[in-house]
Amino acid sequence: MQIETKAFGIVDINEEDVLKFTGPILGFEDIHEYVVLHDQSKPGSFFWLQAVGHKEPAFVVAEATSLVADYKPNFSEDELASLELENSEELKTLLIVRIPENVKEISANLKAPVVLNAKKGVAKQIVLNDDRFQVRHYLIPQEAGGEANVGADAKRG
Amino acid sequence: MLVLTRREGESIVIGEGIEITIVEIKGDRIRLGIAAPKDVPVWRKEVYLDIVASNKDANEIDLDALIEVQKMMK
Repeated sequence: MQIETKAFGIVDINEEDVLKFTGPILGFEDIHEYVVLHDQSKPGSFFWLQAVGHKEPAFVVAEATSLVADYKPNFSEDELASLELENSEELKTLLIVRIPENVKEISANLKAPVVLNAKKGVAKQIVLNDDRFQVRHYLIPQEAGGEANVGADAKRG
Repeated sequence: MLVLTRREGESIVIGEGIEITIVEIKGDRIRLGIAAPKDVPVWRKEVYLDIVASNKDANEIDLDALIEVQKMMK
């Protein structure tokens, strides 16, 4: 089937690669189907999570452990129930990456990863109830005194 | 909006399978217990809104910025 994409124009995809989201990407509750797209010409950590049937939304994503080596969130059984996992190896965790105008402020959302079971073709965004994980985790250390250190994640006493 | 008055230990039931209990009232803080079916997610609103904002920002990606990042993070 052919779909319109944000990064690659019209693309041919296999229907069996379509991921059905059992829990939405928050803010895009009307979109239930996405597909993972890799840019063959630019292998690397980043790839796309593209809506199916709509040009947008499309997110740059990465496998969680390729960006944050020690990222080990605890998902509850209830949270993962809809993924119908037969074993934990089937679970894939993607992080949505945000690339602002100042690309040095690139960040990944560790608080709300996208989990998926490619075999069953199901996925969802999970919001972790864990304050260790930030919504905007900078991938490049920010310079001291910079604005970037006074973000939404700063704790108030 | 429906407004109800409840005391500590009392609950409200919403539809089928959702129950919210006032667990504790201490000064200006109220602890709530929420029982809901597995497929009904429960979020703190400020966290929910922060994630919506972050997802929307992530969708507003500039393709040139991505190319720049791919060069930078090689």
